Amino acid sequence: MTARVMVIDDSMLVRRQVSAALKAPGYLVTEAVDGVDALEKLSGLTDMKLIVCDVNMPRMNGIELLERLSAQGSVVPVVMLTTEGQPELIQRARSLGAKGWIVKPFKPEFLVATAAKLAPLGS
Amino acid sequence: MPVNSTPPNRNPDFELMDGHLTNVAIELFAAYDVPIEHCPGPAEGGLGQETYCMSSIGYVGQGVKGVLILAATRAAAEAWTTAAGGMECDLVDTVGEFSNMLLGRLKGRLLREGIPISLATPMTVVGAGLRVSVPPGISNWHLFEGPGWHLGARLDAAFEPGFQRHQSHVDPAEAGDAIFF
Repeated sequence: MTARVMVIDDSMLVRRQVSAALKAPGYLVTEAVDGVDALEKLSGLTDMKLIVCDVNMPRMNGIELLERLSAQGSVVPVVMLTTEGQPELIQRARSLGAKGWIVKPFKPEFLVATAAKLAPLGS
Repeated sequence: MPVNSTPPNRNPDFELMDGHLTNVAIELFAAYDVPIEHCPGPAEGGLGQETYCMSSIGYVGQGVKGVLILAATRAAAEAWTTAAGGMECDLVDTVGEFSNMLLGRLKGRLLREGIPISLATPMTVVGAGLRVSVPPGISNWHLFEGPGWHLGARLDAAFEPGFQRHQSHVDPAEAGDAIFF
């Protein structure tokens, strides 16, 4: 049993960290380098269960992506994974429907627990 | 790498920012179980002629703007990548991401101090004998040593006349924090 997760970050290091953490228990991981790339890939995937998304990215940042997803009526839960901790940004993400905000660096086991809660394997 | 550094001891706001930079650098690597030590005094003779990867990120706040520069050797970046999970090291990406995490942590500390800033995304170059331009404002280099490697970090800041820290302080989320809605 598995579930598909998307990790969006302009850093290959972070994408690999998140992918490795989530693939270990059995998640299928799709990577995107920024919001634009994410929207393109999401348009071809109908089974996305969770999105883990950076905030500061070129072309389209994480908040802008949340705005786009919200406007599209997306119901895929989004967790922000970022170096940012500014309350205004966190509140903005919450108002746009984000389900969580994690400040880097992250503990892999914590990310897996978060994924298990929002997108249980087999869901 | 020739280094130009303006003594920071003439501006208390810069001293505050610079002090936090030292602390957050040590904390960032500690979060990866990598101990680093702050070496006294900037590298007046430069960081040497080795090949460095140098990442810079601009920032801007009300009445202040500047750049954070992080310079690291491949050995340093490989050590960081190993600490982050043992993946293959992409030099440019690794140094860029660590500079991003470093400035992100500094941003949180400055927010608490009444200096809110916004960040650009990292710009990274690799080369030997890289020369860094003279900063327009105040600047200070730091040298840190890890197990078998070192890194340099330079904070530049240009303050507008009459710059004042905000009185209303904010408590941002800290590294490692998780908030669920």
